Amino acid sequence: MSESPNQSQTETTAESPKQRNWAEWMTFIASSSILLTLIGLIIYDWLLTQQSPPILEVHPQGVVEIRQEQFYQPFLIKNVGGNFAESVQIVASLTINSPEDMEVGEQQISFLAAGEQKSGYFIFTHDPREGELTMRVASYR
Amino acid sequence: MQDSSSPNSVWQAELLNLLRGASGGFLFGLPLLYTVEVWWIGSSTTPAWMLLSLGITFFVIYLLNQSEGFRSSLDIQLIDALMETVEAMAIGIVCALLALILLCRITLDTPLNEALGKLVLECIPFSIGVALARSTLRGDRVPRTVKKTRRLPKNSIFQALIADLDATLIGALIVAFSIAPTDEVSLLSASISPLWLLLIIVASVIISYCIVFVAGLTNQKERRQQQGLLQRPINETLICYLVCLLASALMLWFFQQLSWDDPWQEWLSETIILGLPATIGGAAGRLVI
Repeated sequence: MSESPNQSQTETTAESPKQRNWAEWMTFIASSSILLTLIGLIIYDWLLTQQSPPILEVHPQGVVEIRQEQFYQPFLIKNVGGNFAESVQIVASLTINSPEDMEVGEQQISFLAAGEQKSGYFIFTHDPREGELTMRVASYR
Repeated sequence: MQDSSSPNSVWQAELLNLLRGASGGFLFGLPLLYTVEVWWIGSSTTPAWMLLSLGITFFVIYLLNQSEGFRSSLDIQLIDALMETVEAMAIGIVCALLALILLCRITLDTPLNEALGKLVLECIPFSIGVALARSTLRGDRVPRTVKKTRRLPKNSIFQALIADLDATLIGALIVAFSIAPTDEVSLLSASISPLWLLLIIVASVIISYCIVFVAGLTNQKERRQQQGLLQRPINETLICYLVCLLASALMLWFFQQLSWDDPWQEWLSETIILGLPATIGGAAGRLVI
């Protein structure tokens, strides 16, 4: 990149007020478009988003993975409501034969925005496919 | 030599202005990007609050543009300040969006309202950085006496290199030292894939090069004329990047975020992630110190 034209230009422009050249006008037009697009998207989001409270759905997802004799059950949690939720607590319980023979796992998701979904794993010592697996959202803030 | 009014020259000068603005934006805005609370606040921001934030930012940038700005022109007429405010905010928005994508804070799975909230909140420091670009990237407001004392006749190549590395280290420490002990680096590291790490390396080098050799106002020509293999722009940028990576790794080790028992992949990814703000700080250090 040759330096002298830029340097001379910057030096001269620093000295005196000048008219905008067409490159600067193009920059302004592009900049206005970017800013207006952002404002438009915010208004679109404002008009279309239902400002309902968080509605949290959790369910098992995918296949159970076996790693070193432990069973990894994937899950997916989604906030289908119109507002965010903090400290979302998910509880999963696996009953194999009787209620006494139950494994319980807990997860805490620190933040879930409206429309956001997150995934994770519960780890059991028994195969979830051979028992009754229940997952529910216990609380949020 | 091209005529200063020729189309190429006009575009070149304008591109230089835009790169200067973007460099100032990254310098000012990137540290705030490494704050998990900002991501959360951005995610929970309502559209009304976003519009209010943009309005307040516009007013602040307009006030800054009365005396500052990212262009080299000192023209501060009302209409020019207003137009430059629009431009500064647009550059801030684009830079913040790129940075959020680079750090995987905005992905294709991110809901629109969350992406908008993060973008609006993060574009505030980026836009302020753009508006302050001329003064921050000028390198100095007073004649550079320190620079002259650095360039002694004997061993001047090595002395200039050592002075640059010195300034890089100081700049990297100033910016990255406050980020290194936080959980954000490991949080980001856990969610960023190896391919994205390569993009962060490329972005770090490009931003560093732009800050020192494209956006800098006063000592840019002097820097380009420095002699020696290690003082060539691309070589200097790469060497300083490696120094920033080393400094980042040491800072993470110092704050016990990394230990010798950790896998090398964790060392690599966390070092590269902290290396981004460290490199930007290092580049600013070479301009200012």
